[in-house]
Amino acid sequence: MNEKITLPTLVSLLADKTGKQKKQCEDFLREFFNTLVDAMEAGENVRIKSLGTFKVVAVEPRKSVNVNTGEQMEIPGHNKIVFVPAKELAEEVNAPFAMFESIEIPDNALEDPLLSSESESAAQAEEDPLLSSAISDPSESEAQAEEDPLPSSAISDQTVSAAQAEEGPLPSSAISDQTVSAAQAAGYPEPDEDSDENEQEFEIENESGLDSFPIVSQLNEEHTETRRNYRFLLGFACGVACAAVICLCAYLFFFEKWVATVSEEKNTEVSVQAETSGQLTDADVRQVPEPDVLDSDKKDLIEASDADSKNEQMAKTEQTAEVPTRPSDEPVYDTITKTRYLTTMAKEHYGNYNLWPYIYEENKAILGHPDRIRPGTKVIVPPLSKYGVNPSDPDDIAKAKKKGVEIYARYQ
Amino acid sequence: MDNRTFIDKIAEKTGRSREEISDLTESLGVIVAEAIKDGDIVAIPSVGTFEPKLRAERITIHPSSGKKMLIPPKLTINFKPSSLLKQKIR
Repeated sequence: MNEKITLPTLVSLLADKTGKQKKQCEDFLREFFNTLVDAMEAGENVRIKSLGTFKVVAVEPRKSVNVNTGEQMEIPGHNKIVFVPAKELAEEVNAPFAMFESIEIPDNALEDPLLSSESESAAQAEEDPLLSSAISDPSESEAQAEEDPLPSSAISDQTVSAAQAEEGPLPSSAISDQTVSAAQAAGYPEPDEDSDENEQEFEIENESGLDSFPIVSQLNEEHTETRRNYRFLLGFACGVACAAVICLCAYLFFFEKWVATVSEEKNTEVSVQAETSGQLTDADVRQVPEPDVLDSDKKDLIEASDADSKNEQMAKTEQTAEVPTRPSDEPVYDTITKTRYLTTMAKEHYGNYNLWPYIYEENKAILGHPDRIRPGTKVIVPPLSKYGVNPSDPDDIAKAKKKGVEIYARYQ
Repeated sequence: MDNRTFIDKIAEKTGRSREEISDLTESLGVIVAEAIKDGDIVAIPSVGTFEPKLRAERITIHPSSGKKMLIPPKLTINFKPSSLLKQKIR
């Protein structure tokens, strides 16, 4: 392999092959090459059946420039030898690559990185003096290419499983949400609130999912290079678990607030039912015969409804989910917390989180970078009519988005 | 000079039969092919060397149909004449 076979070696090989004496073979070879050289010297083309054709080709004189001095010079015309191997010889030598055939390439396939990398490796192999490696190189790359689809499918499997894992906490939390609310609200389902809660939950989930996407892409790259996928998989699972815990905490925080308002509403609602329909619950049966108690109950009801309406005005945050667009023109105050941003407010008050730039614009005197507002900052939520915006118009949403980009551009 | 004349000439010079020389030439071709297949270089003093060369795969455009074609890699025999031979034929 990669040895230099000199004339003596060739002689002994030939002697072994033909079973003749070495001396005869040596004589033959010497005469063979002498005749060849003599014929070429005479300017003749020599065709040897088993080897190929040696051609003597004339080269025209041409002008050139000395690269060191920049001098113009003329390379005189001369003859050169061109060797064209015989067809059988060429085929035998090319046997390792005989199975390849030229393929037609569709036009859009040119940008395939695999092609360029393979041709690079082929070029490297050409420079490589070790032909053995040159021969093995393409087959290796081929093998890699063949193996490639497998890891990628594995990756997709992982991502799918990861996505499933990500989705996992959501339904469970949603279920727990429903069960807990059913238990605490004592059969007062209030489906709108519930779905809204779920939506919020989902949004948070999505954000965390977006955060973890770069990790996935990194994972893909790392994976194709090294096959140690388990470590990354473990890390990814940890990330997902952390995101789930954070979501749960955020959810609990929201839920507490919501339960407080719901329980108040429930009190009023139950008494209203008892009052209007006349169908009395066990608790109310005792109270019905005495009108005084009923009056007091009524007072309670009025007070409760008053408190409720006040509550509705004060803390629109939870209530207005049912009324995304308020017809009233009076401004509403809201407070930024760690889990309440301008976008969450916009989602609640306007029904679309993309409309947050209008809240920002109203309060831009006290707000800095839209992502770095201090928790506890009180902001005015302006009515959308002030800016002439219709939240159901996609053009206005697009305008709001543009505005948001402009706001971010101010801080760059 | 074709194969027949070449063999006749060698036979004449070495004083052996044409069949013998033809056999030897055939065997020489087989030996060279095997050596190059193994990745060896056959060097003959004052004549030159036969060495294997890998031609990389490349993309070409088919001249008549105008379609892009991927030409597969190929192993060929490269003959490098010695400087002495180059001088002689100049």
